[in-house]
Amino acid sequence: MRLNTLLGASARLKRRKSGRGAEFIPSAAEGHPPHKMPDWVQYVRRHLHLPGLNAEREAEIVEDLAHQLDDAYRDARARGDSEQQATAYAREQIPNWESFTAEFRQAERRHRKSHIDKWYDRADQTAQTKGGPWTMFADLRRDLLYGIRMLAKNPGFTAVAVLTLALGIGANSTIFTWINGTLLDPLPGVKDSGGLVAVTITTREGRNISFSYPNYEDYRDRNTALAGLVAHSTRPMSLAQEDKAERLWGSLVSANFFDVLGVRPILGRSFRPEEGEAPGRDAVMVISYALWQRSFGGDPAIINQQVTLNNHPFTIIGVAPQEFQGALVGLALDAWVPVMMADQVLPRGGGLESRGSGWLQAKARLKPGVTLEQAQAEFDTIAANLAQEYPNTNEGRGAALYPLWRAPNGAQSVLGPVLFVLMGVVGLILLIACANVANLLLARATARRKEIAIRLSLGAHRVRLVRQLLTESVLLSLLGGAAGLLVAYWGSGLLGSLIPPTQYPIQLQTAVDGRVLLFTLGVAMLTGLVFGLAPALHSSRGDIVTALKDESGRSTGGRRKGILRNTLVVAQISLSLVLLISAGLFIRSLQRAQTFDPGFRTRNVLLAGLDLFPNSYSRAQSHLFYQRLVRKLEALPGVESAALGRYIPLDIGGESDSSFRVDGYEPAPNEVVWAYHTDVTPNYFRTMEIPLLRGRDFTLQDNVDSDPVAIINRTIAQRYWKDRDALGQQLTMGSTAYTIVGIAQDIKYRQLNEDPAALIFFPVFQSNRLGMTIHLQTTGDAAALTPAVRSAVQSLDPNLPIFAVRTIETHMVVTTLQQSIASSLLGAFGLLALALAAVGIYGVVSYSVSQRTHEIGIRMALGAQPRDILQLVLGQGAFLILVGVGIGAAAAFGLAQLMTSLLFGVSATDPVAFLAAPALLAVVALLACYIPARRATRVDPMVALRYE
Amino acid sequence: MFSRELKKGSTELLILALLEAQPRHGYEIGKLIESRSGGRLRFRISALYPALCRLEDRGWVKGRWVEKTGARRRRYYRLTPAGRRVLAHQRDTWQEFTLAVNRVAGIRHA
Repeated sequence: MRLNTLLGASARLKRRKSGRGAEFIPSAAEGHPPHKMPDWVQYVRRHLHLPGLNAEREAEIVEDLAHQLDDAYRDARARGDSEQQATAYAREQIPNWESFTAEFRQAERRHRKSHIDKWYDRADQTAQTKGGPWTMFADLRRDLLYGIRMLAKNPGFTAVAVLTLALGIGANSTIFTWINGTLLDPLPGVKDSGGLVAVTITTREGRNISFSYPNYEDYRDRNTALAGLVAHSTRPMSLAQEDKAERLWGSLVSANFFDVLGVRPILGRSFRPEEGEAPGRDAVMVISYALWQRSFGGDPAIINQQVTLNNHPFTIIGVAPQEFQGALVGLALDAWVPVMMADQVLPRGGGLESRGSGWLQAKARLKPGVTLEQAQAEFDTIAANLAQEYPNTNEGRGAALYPLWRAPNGAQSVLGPVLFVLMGVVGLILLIACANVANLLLARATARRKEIAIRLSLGAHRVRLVRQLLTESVLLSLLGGAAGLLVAYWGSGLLGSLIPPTQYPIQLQTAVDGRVLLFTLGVAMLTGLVFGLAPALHSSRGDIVTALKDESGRSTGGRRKGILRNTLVVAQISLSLVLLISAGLFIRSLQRAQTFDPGFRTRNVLLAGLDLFPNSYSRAQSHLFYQRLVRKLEALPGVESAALGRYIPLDIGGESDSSFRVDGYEPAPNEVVWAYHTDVTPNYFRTMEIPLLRGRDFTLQDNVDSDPVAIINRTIAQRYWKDRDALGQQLTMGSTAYTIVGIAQDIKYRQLNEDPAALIFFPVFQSNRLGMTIHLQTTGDAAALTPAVRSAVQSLDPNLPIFAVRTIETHMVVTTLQQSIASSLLGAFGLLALALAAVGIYGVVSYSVSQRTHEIGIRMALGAQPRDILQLVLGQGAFLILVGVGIGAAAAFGLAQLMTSLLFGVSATDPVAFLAAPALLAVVALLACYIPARRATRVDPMVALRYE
Repeated sequence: MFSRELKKGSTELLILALLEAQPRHGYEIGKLIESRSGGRLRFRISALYPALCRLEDRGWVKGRWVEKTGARRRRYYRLTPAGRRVLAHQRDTWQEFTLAVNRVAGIRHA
């Protein structure tokens, strides 16, 4: 017999426990006089060899067979045989052990040793024969194999635990892929993109604005803290080859762009330093891998080929690596040209000379060993010097450095806050899942009490036992983690699909990469320790005597264990309540945001972009084109009203602002008088249903031949004219004085939750703008008009594409992006948490019912009605729920304060969310208690009392 | 009395039939076969026990340790529902088989 295998050992223990040297040999038990008789167990063991069989079954067969031989022996004795004769008779029962064993092998297919058992035996032997470090490895291997065996033995338990963990870990891995893709390593193809720094110019009011080219040069050349400072400006561009034109997004970049980012073209070269020196000289471009494949068929002969970009001939010098998509998080760009080509590429010239006009974004890489604070200090000094040298443009201007994940521009600035909340949320979900699995383990630990007691009594160290149990739980969580990776693999792309189509080439890189794998592994290991430790410590504190006395293996689980289980359930309920309340707050925010009136029409408006610049329109030609186009559009059936506007309110990116002067208004020191401004055609206000409070709309007569006019919004009128009448007065922007002909109602212009911002409208026919968005108010479905709009445009210019065609409803989704992402994800996670908590409380209550069957039986026998039992069980559950709800509501109250900035139109203590969520939770949780409670009322007292 | 081959074909049926009324332990089955056949059929443990284990392996019978106060525990075997169905089927088959053998061998029906 192999004493060291657990099951063999347990068989041995039983014998020892009985206190009779050889239990299988009966003594006075059945009334026979005590006499010396053969040890049949030894006899069978000597003859029967079943190496392929597992130990448990083998012991069983030996015992059964020994009994039968003993029966035969007694039979013979009872007939009056002598001891020798009786022994011979019994032995005659199995005359040929060899053929007997052979028959057995055939019969016992089910009990054959598994592969795991065989490995286990081998590990056992290694541990015994080698010693030293081998023992440790062999121990680990033994623990693992033992763990696998225990998990395989309880497939139901294993499946539930792994599924629970897969959901918990998978949710974490999914959110981590998003955080990884947008915050940690946001620029694919860029060397250590998480280590990049975003640099902005700051205004006196603390706004972040862009660099002008001269400022960029000064900061680049005067600093010593940076390994490199790059500038880039992202624009839509038009690429023409032969007769077809393609609209794409590209960047004007400083010559050091690719070197500082650490990007090497897979074909050709990147920019040389001298290509960043002379304006207009080096018309070279690097294209994206995607564009190379899409428009050039991946032709390697593309290098040195000439193309036309925004009407200017360029030479392609390089193809960027496939994964590289630019220096703006979440945007996939297709072309990069030197910033020195600004005058050739930008509609009105880039203004390379102008220090006052900012249009470049900047990214930097710190020198090794330099901290962000040191670099910031140096930039502060440079800014102060520049302010002295160029007071006109740089007075009051600073420069700010941000780690890329906190940069004010790019997808991460929108998604970052939401993702952090979500990371907290999935952390809570994982805790809830852990509590569920810990409860499962505790319940199972009760069932395994005997096994553990036996091992302790055989001299197993408690440390060793805890290690074994932890190995099992980590094994479980690793399985859960593996399944969780599948969840993450599926969920990683989900973020992208939550973002509606816009005119921007949004492409979030959220894939499962090495970092995600490592994260998942770490979370899984940690999870295994978290949910495994408490049950392991509890079980290994085994009370050997009670456990062994309790032959049926049943027990009440102990008071302490009960408290632990109840604590876990209370924790689950409170955590899921926190999630449900947060979800409630965001859902309410979304409702508010969706029904919120931004001050302009939000239904049945079609938007479509057009750009005349690549087709070389002069100012006069463009004005003529706009007039004809609006006339054609107005004539389309189903169109109520048509207009053009330079910008769309509440668009992401895309707005202009400038400072201006108002006669008679004396700004405070440090005050900058500024406003957003846009250019619109007549009928814009009617089309967008923005009320004109006073004055008139623009007309076709407000053109280059008449005096400059403007319409201001109410905020400007109130702020700068106060109680005077602004109508007919003048404001001066740049060198032009505009007469105010109208005052419009305030609208939400940049963000739904902004305070009213200053906004000025200028007439299109007095300005020189080549990019416009068509605004059509329609009677019915706006999207249906798309083909008509396209053909109207092409009837005027066959080579002019329209782009970013969408309804205002689609556009508005973008404006509530944060709320809609947060509420849909939090809602889903809240329900997941609710389900996990319901399973948790169901498990605890039904376990307690099964443990109390006896007690319930007695109560019923003594006259308790089913109603009383129902009350008893539900009362226990209700108490847990109440405590959990109390704690959860308090925690949510505290946490909600942190989410205030993400909420819209609801307070962080919104009574609806704080009442509805606990109510929902209480109902579901009570329902989960009701099922086992009902079962308890059906206990048959007679059965329950006999049940022992 | 009967040849080994002859007995072998009937072992399973005999075991199943004896377990039909109540659970029994291993040696008891052999004794019952002997007594009910008037001593004409005798099985050694070496023939019965592997058959019993085979039946258990197939899920037709189920063994269970039963402890009685003051006595050693014994393994009792009972018929499972599946075993019950098999028994009915084997009874029919056996009947048809003996009938067919009788006809061929020219044994007149009693």
